[in-house]
Amino acid sequence: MTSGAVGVVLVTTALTVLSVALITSMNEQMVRDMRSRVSEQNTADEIVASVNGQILASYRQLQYPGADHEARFDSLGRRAFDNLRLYLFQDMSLTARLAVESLRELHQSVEVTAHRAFELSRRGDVANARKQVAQLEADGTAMLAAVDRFVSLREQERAIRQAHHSTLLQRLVSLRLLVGLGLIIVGLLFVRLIRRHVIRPLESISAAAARLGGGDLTVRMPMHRHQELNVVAASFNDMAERMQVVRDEIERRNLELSIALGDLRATQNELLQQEKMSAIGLMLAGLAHELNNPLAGILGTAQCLQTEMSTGTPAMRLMSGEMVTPLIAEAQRAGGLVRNLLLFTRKSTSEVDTVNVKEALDVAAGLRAYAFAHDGKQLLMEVPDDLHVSIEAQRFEHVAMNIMTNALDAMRSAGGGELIVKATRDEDAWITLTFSDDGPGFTDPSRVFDAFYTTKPVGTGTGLGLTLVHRFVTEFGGTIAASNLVPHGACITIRLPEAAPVPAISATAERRIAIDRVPSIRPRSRILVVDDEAVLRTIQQRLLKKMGHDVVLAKHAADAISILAHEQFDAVITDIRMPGQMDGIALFEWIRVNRPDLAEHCLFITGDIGEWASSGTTATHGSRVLAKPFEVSEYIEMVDWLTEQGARAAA
Amino acid sequence: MFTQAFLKHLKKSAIVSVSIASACGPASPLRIAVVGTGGSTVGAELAVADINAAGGIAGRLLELEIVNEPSESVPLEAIRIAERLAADQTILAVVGHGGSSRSLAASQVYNARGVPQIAPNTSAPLFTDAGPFSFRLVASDEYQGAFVAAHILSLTPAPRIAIIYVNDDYGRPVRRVLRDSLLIGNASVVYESPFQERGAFTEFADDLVQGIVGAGPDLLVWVGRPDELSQIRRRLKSELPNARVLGTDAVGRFRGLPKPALIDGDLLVSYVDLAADRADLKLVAQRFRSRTGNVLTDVAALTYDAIGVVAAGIRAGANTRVAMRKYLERITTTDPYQGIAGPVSFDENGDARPRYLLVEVVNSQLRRFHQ
Repeated sequence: MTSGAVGVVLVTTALTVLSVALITSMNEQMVRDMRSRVSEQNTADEIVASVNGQILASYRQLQYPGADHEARFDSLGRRAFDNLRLYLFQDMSLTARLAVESLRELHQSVEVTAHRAFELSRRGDVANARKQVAQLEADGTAMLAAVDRFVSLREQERAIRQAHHSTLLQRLVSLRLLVGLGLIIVGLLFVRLIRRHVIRPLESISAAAARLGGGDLTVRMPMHRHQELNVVAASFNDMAERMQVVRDEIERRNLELSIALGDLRATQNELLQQEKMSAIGLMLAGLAHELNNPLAGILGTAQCLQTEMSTGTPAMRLMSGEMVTPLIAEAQRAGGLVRNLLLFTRKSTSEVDTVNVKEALDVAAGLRAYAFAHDGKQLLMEVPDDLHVSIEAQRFEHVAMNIMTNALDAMRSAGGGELIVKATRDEDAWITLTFSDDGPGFTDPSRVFDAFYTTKPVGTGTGLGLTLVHRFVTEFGGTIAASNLVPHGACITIRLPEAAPVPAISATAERRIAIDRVPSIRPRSRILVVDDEAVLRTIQQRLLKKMGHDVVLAKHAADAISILAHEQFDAVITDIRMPGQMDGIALFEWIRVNRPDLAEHCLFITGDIGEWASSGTTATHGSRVLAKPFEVSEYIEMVDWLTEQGARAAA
Repeated sequence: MFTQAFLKHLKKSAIVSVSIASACGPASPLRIAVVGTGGSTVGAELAVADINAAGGIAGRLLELEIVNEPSESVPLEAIRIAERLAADQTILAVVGHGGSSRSLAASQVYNARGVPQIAPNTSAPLFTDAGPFSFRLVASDEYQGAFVAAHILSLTPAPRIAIIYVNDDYGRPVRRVLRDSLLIGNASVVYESPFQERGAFTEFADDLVQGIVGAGPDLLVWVGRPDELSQIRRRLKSELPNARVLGTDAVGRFRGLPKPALIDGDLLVSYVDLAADRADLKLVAQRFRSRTGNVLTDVAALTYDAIGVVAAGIRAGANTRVAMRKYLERITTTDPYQGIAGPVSFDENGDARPRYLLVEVVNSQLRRFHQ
């Protein structure tokens, strides 16, 4: 391409130079022609004048012989001859040159004839002299005519040359037009060539670059015939190759980042959920505590009333059976519900324990029982009580309750009536739990555990519930799977390694001894009851007095301390959570310091057994705690145990 | 075969073309043309023969094209000959032409076509301005006129002088310088007349002789060729027995004079001392005589040297016309070519230095004249 462009430029330049040179040459030739025309015309005039002068001098020599006329004749002859020879060095044609030589010979003839006439005249032969002069005149006339012909010939030659120049000029113009046309054609061909070999490849480069910029990193440029474009194509392809590698690396890292971000968001949401649950638990704990006090009052009052009426008239006993007994049962049910709430919302210890599967599932089921009943659904438990797993109890309860809640939501929105929770021991020492409902089933069982995947209406589900369930189960070495049942229904299957059971009896169970099975042989004791609830103070006073003890009541810890500072007691029964600067635990710490004789004779009553468990006091006083709402029998049993301890110590 | 080609060419154009050798390669033929009368062309032939006999030039033989140009031919014919030779690109240079008018006319063709021309005896003053391709081995006739005038003015007693001159490029300038010089020297020019050569002279001859005789000169200066002189020499000798004739250089070429004895005692101007004691000159003169039966003329000797100059140029590598011209320009007085007629050199106009001598015809032989 480069050589082609150079060639066009060279041809154009050469033609232009040639044109200018030709035109310049023609102009110079025209100038020379004009000058030579003038010069030759002057020369011709000189010749004509000289020859005419010679003829005239010849006549005069004949008429008036003398040396002057001959001398003038010679002078004019020399002048004519010299002018004739000026033609010798002119640029002229062969014909013109021959004409010049003819002129020269004619002039020689004229001069020789004249001299012959002069000689005849000198000899007196006038007649012959006149003949020679006549001949001279004829030759001279012929010569002058020849001069005219020569001048005409030169004019014709100039005219021919000018015509030739005109023709040449026309041809030059035509040539330039043709050259111009040729250059246009060459230009078009050149443009086409450029388009084919430069523009199109550049367009393909541009298109490829656009595709590359649009994200298509698979685009590659074909190789070209031209080395320069090949270099560009190779560079482009190399760049695209490297961009593809880099993008793959970026996508891989993006995927990792996305996964990490998802985990982070899940963790964040989990933290939020835990925080929320913690707040709810705190609120529920407070609520449960507040509920336990009145429940304890109601239950205690009802049981006292039942005891009083049981010794009354038949009508009173009948009324007690119809009205007080259901009251006690409902109070007990409410107390159980509150207890479950407190257990569910207690702070996690993050410790792995051997957990009784049935107990844990019962906690969850107990919390969801009302909701199932409210919506007309059934929650059926088919769980043996001898199955244990090694797990964090609270989170296990959360797992169960989450699955139960999901099942209830599904059945509530799309039909279905029951959720069956089963637990079985497999032959391979694994425990399998199944949560099977007869609802609509999962839309896509394979995505149930994906983060933020939910089919619930917007605003009702976070999409994280089952994700957290999946994580929790797998963290404890278990597996979890989701499937649909035929013809309909969903099933969540959890498998966890079985753990060996821990033989233990809970403090609550140990203390729950029926009051009628406790012997009533008790020493009379003086007991200080500390409780901010007036109803509970009253009930305890009544029960203790009925048991034969002396009772002193205190409204709060400070009141108790002022009493203890001046009076003697055998035992102290105190609520733990009380208003004021001191609670039951602080009171106990005061007793240990100021009345150490009573330190082993303190009984604690609390509405929040979870708080008690987490307070650290359990280690030293775990066996002297009675949870609200307590059964009268439980209270009597604990008081008996307390007074017996005091009596044994005294003995 | 060579002879047949030669004869065929001779019949066709009346131009004698002699191939001295045909061994020259067609790529760069060593060809020279010589244009002139019989005497000059023989001198050229002798030169080429000597060169080729010595082995040629770098092993290649020289080829000579001879164009016979009779003395009676006119400049018109010279122009046509020049056109033909110039068109033949194989010819490196032209040696010729014979007369000044013919040589002048042809010179413009050669200069226009870029052909080196070496004129052995063209003495017309106008030839000085003929052009860069024109060279000659003799000086301008202005010097000859002065030379003749000086001789005449040295004579005692002073002669009565008649000047008869050919009315052309040769005769007119010689006569002008001669006459002016004589007049300045107070010489007595009692008669002057131009003449025309060839047929025009014949009817004029009687009147001319009467005029000359009527003037009664002691010395007749003949500025022209010998052909016309021979027509009136007998009558002049009878009418003016004491009158001596002094002919300019052109008269020296008297080959063909019917009776050379008629000019015995006459003086002639010559460019070459043909009687010089030089072996090469004598050898050429001997061969010339054996070839033509005549004595060697100065024109023949100058033509011999002209061929030698061109051959020297070819030896020096001047294989083109332009190169030959440049070579000729380098032949100056500081580095002349040594010919049989003496050293050859050119000035900036291509002219030779003036070199004249007078010879006397004694018993049809030329002898150097010593006054």
